[in-house]
Amino acid sequence: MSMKTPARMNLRLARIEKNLTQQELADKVEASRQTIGLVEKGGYNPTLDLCLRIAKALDKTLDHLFGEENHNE
Amino acid sequence: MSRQLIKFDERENRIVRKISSVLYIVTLFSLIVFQLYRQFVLNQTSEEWNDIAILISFNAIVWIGTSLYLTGVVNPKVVRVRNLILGFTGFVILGSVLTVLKYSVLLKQTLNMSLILDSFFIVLMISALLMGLWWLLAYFGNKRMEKRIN
Repeated sequence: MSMKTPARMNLRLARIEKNLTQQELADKVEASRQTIGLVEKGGYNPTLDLCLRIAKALDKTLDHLFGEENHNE
Repeated sequence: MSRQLIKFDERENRIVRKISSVLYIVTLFSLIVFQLYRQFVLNQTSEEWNDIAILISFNAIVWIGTSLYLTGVVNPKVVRVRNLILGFTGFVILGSVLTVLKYSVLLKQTLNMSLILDSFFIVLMISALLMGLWWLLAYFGNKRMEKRIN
């Protein structure tokens, strides 16, 4: 069963703030550009491990990037 | 930065595993269909479709066994004896029915008491072996998991 995950606007904003392209962030966290794109759009629910790597790469907290109140449909 | 041509991340790995799971089920069901086709449409003897039957049985036994071991979710200490007896009885009944069908329908043999007793003994042994094997795997799987989390 696939569950629609919400778009992660804070993740996109944090990446742009850091001047990183999706590909550059993907390289930093050892994922593909497609995966990062899907996480941002809400098309893929990443594992905690990937969330932590993304948060570390963007110098943000998990709550800021993936917290409930930061979801934007 | 050097990039590998194909390096799957977690999402892609998940997709590949999903495809593999679906294809495994498709392959297994196809094998069952092929075996039934050989058995009932082509009327082949059991020696001619035994290879497929062995493959299907082996798959089912190993699949259940490895699932019990690797998940470690079944705690054999809390499994009720009543459930074990029920499972064993179910196996014996199913095995007996299949054996009777094999001799009377497929091989068209008349069943005598010696054949029935011999077959029943084999069914009992196989059922006990399978239940024992799965119980052992569940026990060690659970022990391994408890060791990992404590």
